[in-house]
Amino acid sequence: MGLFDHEARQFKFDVLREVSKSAYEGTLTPDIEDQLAYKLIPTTKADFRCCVYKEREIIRQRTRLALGKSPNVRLKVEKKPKQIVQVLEAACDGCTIQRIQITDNCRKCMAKSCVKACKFDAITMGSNRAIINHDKCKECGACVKACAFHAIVETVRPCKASCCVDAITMDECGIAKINEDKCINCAACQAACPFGAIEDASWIVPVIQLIKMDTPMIAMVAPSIQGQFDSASLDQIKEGIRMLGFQDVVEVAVGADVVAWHEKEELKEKMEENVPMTTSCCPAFLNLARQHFPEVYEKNMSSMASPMVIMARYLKKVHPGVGVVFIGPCVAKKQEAMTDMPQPDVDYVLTYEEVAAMLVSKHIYLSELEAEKRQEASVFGRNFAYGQGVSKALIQAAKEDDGLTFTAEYADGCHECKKQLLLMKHGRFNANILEGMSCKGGCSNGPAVIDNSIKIKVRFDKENAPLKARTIKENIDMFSQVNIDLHRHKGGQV
Amino acid sequence: MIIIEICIGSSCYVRGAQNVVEFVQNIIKEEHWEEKVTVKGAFCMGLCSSGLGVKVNGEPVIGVSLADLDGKLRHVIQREVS
Repeated sequence: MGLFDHEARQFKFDVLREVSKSAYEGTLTPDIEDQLAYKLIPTTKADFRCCVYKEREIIRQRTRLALGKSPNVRLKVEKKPKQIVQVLEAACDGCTIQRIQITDNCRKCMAKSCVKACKFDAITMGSNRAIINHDKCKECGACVKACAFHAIVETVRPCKASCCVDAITMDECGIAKINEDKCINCAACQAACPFGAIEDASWIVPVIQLIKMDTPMIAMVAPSIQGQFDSASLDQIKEGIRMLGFQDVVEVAVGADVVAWHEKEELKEKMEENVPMTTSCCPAFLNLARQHFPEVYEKNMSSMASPMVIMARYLKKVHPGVGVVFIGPCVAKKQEAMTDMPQPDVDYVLTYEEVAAMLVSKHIYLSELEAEKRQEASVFGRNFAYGQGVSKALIQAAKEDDGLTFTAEYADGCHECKKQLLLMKHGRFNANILEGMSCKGGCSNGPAVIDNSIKIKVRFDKENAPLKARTIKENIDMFSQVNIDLHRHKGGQV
Repeated sequence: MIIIEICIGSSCYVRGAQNVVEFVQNIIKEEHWEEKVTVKGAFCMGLCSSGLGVKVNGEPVIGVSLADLDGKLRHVIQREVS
């Protein structure tokens, strides 16, 4: 049985597993694309798409992306390393649906409100129902609102509808295209595409290569990893990842504790100046502000580096020369790790999906592992994985310190983030702090999670319930002994 | 022992660091230097602007490119070995 209900995601996983297996075994040859195409699509009968040839081409493109290469050879352009989210041209269905369509619900009524509502003369009454002349239709949607029978529907391609920065267009063949200047790598389109035609480039091959060359590396796991792998506890998950070839595995939630503590200090300053502040831990939210609301980014965004970056700097300071690999549910983090070049804080980013593929390829079964119990972060830091968790950690940090009171607004999902940033730009934001999460529900519902976020939350709460005694301050004391920069480096574009 | 460190950071990987690893491993085999030379993986050395990141005995080799691996690297390693 597969890990995913979504057949396209299962194929993506199968490709990652096979690539991981070959990389560990040292049998990765240039013809891996063809090998996998025939291994995963062995029949002559198409099961998913129009023919086996298309299915195999999709596998080839998925393989290239799993190797960190450009999925499409047709364009002959090298993939920009910073652009993580990529369209698999062969997998894209090119669903060029007319945006406005008249359905069978049309009763050819006498009011003809649609005809009257159309300012462009695009609707006429046919013999059975109203007809749209798509050459004239400007897709304004007036007829949709006018019809009393809800017979006219407005449909948008899922990728386009999910994109809050309007970065998706279609080429002449109807294949989705990403405008890389607008794209914030949030991967909302990746999560939305029913054909799995938009995916993230993977770094599993170089990570495995480094492991095989005995390079010392530490893995850091994002807080939302708790509960991702069925009944495996966080300690078991960490042990399993260590067995993949890492020197140690630590919680990024410790960095989250640090962020909560210092962000609260910054909030105090901002409140004295009467300027609202935004959080800065979600990389897609940060990209949204930086690329589309530069004034807000400069004036309002917290100057704290993300928990991932803080933790990486800490590890590199304490263990000089070590490589740091972040493991999370997030695609935008891959891009965040690439932006501070040269000398990046985080060397590589893997997703839960990719780690699961590596674990399966190495036959490591997490729930069977013996693992030592170890709590590094507070439960408040771990809660960064869920929507409103950052605000709650800030409240806790204030409680443990000087009891600052403030109001917080939570933006759930990229569209809501955009709305709140717009309000802030125009001085209409009313709370003291805006917590922005590009994925609805927070990181636990990120594009590369394995399990359903409700199930994860249940396991997360159960495991953390007895651990609430640990305060945020304990980790701050530990951190203050190591002198590292806690602020985001300005600029640093690739 | 000669230590060759090859950067397999994201930037060098994208530009083909894997080929450098294979190339170096191949010359070691060809020249029977197994006892003399070790290859290690490394992270960003800050050489991104001057070609692929390679250090031989801690000394950066400037201007390594995929097109000129043989000309650039073999020579440097040979000098160290002899």
